[in-house]
Amino acid sequence: MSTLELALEELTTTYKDLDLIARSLVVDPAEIAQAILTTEEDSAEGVALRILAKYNPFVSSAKIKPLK
Amino acid sequence: MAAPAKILPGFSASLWMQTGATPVALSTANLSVWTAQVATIVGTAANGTGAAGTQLSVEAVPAFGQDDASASFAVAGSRQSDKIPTQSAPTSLTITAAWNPSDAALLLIRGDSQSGVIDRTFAIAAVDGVSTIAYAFNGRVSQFQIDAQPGAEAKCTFSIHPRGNQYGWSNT
Repeated sequence: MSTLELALEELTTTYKDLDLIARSLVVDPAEIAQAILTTEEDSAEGVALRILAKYNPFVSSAKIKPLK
Repeated sequence: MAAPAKILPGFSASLWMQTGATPVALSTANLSVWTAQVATIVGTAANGTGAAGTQLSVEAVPAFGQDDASASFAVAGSRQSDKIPTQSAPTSLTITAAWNPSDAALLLIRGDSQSGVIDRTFAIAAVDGVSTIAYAFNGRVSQFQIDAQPGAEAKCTFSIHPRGNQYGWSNT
């Protein structure tokens, strides 16, 4: 299982504080951002992904056109 | 569908609970999921399906949420001291209901209070037409008292103590 899958399994099945757990889970932000696009928002996975994204924010590496 | 976008009257709220003597409470993440999760506890009267839940006929839904707690600090040289929120418990719900000894929901509550270790998912649903917003939480029942004064209808009072961090908001 991938790191993201393991993190999702932990977050969707626990009875503990989601924020507390997500804080210590290090997952690829790009992977989370991609998963959010393809996951139903009103689902346990959707809830878990949004919390993971909070602590693993995705920053696009696309080059920004410099101002003239 | 979006949550209701208006100030709701208090009487639009109703209290629902999981059925079954030994229920499997929803996981923390699922407490924030309406579809196929919280909706199964909330009945059709509040736009749910009610497949795994029943309504608790209570006099009024009490205040719910989180208790207040803070620590005060004196800041040298400053006009005002500082006050920082600290860890606090979820608000316990003390509820009064008319006592019907055959009411299935009240019998579950009575059983839970006798056990003290049964975790059950409860949901408070506020409805505006086809829109519903639900606060779901897992809790255990502690107090359960029956007041059978001769001058009035018998009533029962019980307390639900929500488990810490086990709550979620969802909507239709």
